[in-house]
Amino acid sequence: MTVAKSKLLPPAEDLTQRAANSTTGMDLRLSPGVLRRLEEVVNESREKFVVDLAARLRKLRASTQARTDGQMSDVDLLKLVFEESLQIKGMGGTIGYQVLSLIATTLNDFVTERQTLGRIQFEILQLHIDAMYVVIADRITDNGGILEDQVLSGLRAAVRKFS
Amino acid sequence: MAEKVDFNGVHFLIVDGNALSADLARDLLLTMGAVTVFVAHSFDEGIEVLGSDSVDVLLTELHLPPRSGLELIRMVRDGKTRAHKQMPILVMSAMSAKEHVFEARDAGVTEFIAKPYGVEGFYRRMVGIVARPRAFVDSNEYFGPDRRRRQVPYNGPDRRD
Repeated sequence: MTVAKSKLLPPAEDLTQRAANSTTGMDLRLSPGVLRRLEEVVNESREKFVVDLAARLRKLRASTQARTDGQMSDVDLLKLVFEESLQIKGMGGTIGYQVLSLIATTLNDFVTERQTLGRIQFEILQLHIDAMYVVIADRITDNGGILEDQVLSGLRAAVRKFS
Repeated sequence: MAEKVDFNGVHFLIVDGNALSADLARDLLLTMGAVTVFVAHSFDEGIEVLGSDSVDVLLTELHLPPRSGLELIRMVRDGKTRAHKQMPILVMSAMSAKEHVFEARDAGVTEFIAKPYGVEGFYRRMVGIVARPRAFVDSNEYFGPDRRRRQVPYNGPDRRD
């Protein structure tokens, strides 16, 4: 049997030659001063992120109400929840709302590849949205406290049991 | 040996449908000394920039409905854009489950950073992909950075020239 050989190409050095040097630019190791400046950039965008996250949660709540009223199908709701929970997961922790990202992750896992919602599954979905609302409304940053930890554990247990 | 990376002359392209996330990544790059940062909010916009402007480093989300960041990566690696086939590509995505990371790796991504990310991780990866370029593997099934990150003893057949 012949085995198709692959070629190992050397690293493309042109970009490195242009940018890497010993005098100007950023240190290879992140200095405390640059770290502080980068954190300031994140802080400056925090309020915009919070406003955007709140709008996404409002949209999710309106959509669950529309589903309850028979104006939105399970498939459409699940598609929307997948999209929004993915965005919330990616945004929350970036601005210090790690617990928000953790709840959104659980919700995103819960709706991934799901096609229908039974009564209990719909309630679990609503509980996630309510919990995220509280996090934003009360500005619960980092990983939250004991209560948030218990809420997260409860949501994860519900997802495990009713997926 | 280089001790610094000057992003001044490096042209970046960020492709992310989430405008706030894209803006934040752009602002971080500008703070790190970059001057030219293109931002695209869809797959099609990204392809347009890659076709018309000189881009050195691509940062892309995987989730770019109705298309995908994986398609974008494959197009670059297959030489279907004007960009250098060996350009560094950083995936920044909330689709960070193991299977998505493996898919991105097998499409030829240079580095993967899971959203939400911290500024330290972002900095380390940006500096690393420019200062320490990786060797590439060119085979019938794969074109991309060498996926062997660790040097471990291997006694099997040699499949590389």
